Amino acid sequence: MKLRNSRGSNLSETGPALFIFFLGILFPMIDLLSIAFIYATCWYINFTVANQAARARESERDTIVTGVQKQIYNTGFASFLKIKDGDIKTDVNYPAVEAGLPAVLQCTTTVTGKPLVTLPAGGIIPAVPGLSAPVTFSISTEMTRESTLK
Amino acid sequence: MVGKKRSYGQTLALVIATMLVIVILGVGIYYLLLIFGGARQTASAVDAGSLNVAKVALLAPSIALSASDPTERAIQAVVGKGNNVNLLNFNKVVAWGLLVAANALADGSDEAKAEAKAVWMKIEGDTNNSLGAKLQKALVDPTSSIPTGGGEDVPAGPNWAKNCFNAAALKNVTAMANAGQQVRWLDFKTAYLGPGDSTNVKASAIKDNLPFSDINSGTRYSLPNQLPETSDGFIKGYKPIEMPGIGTFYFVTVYPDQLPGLRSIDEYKRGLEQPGKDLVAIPPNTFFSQADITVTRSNTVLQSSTPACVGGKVYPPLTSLKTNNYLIVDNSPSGTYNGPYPGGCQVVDCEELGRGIHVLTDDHGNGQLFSLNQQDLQNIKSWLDNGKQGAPPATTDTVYFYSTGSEATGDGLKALNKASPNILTCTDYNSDSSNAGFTPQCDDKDAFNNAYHPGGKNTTSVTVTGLTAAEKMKDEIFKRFHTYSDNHELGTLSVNPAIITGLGLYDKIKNPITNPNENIAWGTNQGGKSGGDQVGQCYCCGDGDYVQAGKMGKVTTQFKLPEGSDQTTTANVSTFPYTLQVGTAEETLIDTNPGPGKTPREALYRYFQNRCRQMGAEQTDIDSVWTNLQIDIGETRYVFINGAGKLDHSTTVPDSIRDLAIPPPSTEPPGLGGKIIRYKKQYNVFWNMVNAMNDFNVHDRMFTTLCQPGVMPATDSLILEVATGATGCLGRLNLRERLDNGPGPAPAIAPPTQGPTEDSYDSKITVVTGVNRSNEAGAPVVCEPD
Repeated sequence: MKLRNSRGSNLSETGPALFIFFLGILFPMIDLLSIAFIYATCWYINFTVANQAARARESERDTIVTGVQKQIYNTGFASFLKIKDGDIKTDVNYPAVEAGLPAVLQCTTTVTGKPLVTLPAGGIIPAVPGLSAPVTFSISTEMTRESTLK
Repeated sequence: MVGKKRSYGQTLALVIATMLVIVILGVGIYYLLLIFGGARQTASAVDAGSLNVAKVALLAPSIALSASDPTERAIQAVVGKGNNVNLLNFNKVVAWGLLVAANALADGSDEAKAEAKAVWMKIEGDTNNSLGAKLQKALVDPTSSIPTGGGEDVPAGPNWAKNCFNAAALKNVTAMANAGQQVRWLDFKTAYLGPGDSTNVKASAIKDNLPFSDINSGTRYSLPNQLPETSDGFIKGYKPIEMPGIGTFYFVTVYPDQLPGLRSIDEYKRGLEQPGKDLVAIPPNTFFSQADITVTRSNTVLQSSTPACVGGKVYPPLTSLKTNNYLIVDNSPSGTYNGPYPGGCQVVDCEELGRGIHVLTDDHGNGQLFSLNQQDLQNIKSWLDNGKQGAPPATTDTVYFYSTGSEATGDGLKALNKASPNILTCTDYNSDSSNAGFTPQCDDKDAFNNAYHPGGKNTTSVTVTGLTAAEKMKDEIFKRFHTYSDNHELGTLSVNPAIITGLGLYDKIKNPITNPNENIAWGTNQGGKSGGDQVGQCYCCGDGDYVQAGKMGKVTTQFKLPEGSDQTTTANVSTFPYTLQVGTAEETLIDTNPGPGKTPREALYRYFQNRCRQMGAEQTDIDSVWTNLQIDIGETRYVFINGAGKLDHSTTVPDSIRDLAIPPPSTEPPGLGGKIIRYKKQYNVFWNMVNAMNDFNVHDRMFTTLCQPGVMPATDSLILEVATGATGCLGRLNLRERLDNGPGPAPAIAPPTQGPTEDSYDSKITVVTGVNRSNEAGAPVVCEPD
């Protein structure tokens, strides 16, 4: 019986191994990393806006929201995460104060980002947000207001 | 030689390398999380520390007030005894200063404005040494000290900013950044946030309590510019309020409906410059604390800073100013009588002093007829003049005949005496209860005898206080007459130097005209009491409330022209003009019928009400005090806010104002830094003396005839000394009665002089002081009757 060529087996195994490594491990990991960064960005925007809005007058809300979002858009981070104008939406509401409770604000931030490496999808392979399709995160915060001025 | 490559294991190396990358990445993320987490913990700690600084800053550091400075003593009363000026009560002080300025501008006098400007300078106008400047320095300087006793979160001692920061910040865990070290305070700065936002003083506390620029017309003073007011009714902080000629006032924004709160950096940066820094020095309201921490894992330094603004939510806002200021109502002094005591005030004597006694003399030396009823004597005189035709006239009141001769029948009065059953004959004999034939009614008039008959009884001297000037003058006459009767010199009565006293008010119900069985006690300062030490008090009156001591709301009603229904003398009444004098201006004749809202009483009430409101009094309390405050002659009363926050009054200086510079009583009100407004009513004590309203008979004429015309003007006055409140006193209302020569002819009261001698009973109705003493002096005074 003729033995199989060991060199040939290496060559023949490398292809599938690389395929599995890139598509199954490395790219998804990179995408997971980008998902984490998109989430972290969403959280950061939400926290920053809520925190600043809590310390400012209601009339300054739009300035704060626009300022923080603009700050994110202008970073290379946003480009890295493929966050473009309109991908960040922040809504700050001031619910009516209930008797005996402190005044609060509600801040909801939605960020849509694309995976760093978009994996192929189509046919029988469904598009997976964060891997092969844009992913959207929405974070809501309720925070006690430091300033209750209009 | 080319080595033979292994035919297996390459994938394993790749996996290991990949795993290594993943582990390194994981460790990196872990460290990143520590940094992020540490940053959050640090930020929270700094937030807490900064908030505590803002929380404490409302109360401390604070500025102690000097007891040697009159203005600071007044401010001490405003903030309360033992309290320092701090950020929380600074606005109260400014509001008080603003009211002082408004009072000064309403008053309009230069002295008042200068006084108000000095107050403004003391509060914030002096950019170096005012209370605002001192408080600003104390708050800006992180090394300032806080006294003990501020509570758990208020650390005492120097370095207030660091201590207050640490008191809260170090309670926060920062282990993710550094398990062995906590945040480290670095520095702090201050700012003036919220120009146009709320102070803790309601605008109504100023707007509703603005003074009257003219209390007589009811014109209220208006601020030069509209008071800056927030939508929720508070005065705006850090906004100028210009008071021309005095200064520009600035309040501090303290957010009365918020707790101390963090602020954005942007807002903080906008508030770095003090509003009105060229005009005033005022304290900041925002404190920017900086701190850092070394992150152990990365050996990096994390720095965090945040501004926090004060919030006064836990402290009630000032809807009115309880300033511990006060008003004075001064009804002092009172006249003092020192002389013979009439020995009990029987009917005749009481009436005598109240109404005057009418005397018909008998120049035959048989005695005199005395009556309170002039008409009775007039009728008798006519009967005598007409040769005693017909029956003697009936008399309405008892006519006393005091015989100085024997009981022998005779002509003239004795004949009359015998003929008229209404004439009570009294002699020394039947006046003495030890003698047979004693007539008690004659004994009852011992005092009458004592006054009008030589060698009378009951000559014990007493000292009586509580007399008005007019009453005192009557006493002087009484006394002089008595001394004359004792063969002492009777000099010309002089009221110079002027006699000045307070005013009295007497119970209308006890008017002896309408209640002949009641006698008015006069000159008393002990309403409701009967005592032998009060000249004029009568045992006949019992111990009832026959004297109603003056109540302010009633005393002031006297200040309108006398009304017919209140006059006991309708004939020969003359009044001097009732006038108003403001400041040094000429006296203005007041409308004799000023109409509703324009009487002096209403004018004075306006002032009283306004100043009481400036003290923080409630309307119901103001009305209650105005109506019920009792001002006896010789008394000074202080109107103030008591410990329960109610308007109160006292004859002694209350504790709350004891440390203030209280103006001493003065018979001639010198003014308290503002205008002096005098409401005057002048009348002649002699002859056609007008009965002051509700003053039944006390001011009535005691002489039905004067031998010579004369004027002895008495002036009843309500003298309002307007005050701005700069020293705590918001004004003084003086009630005064003054007797002096005044305008018009010189006073004419003369001792009995040589007069015509007639050998008949053709006596005249004469003055009391001029009771014909022909039997004694041989020189009767005979004047023509009315």
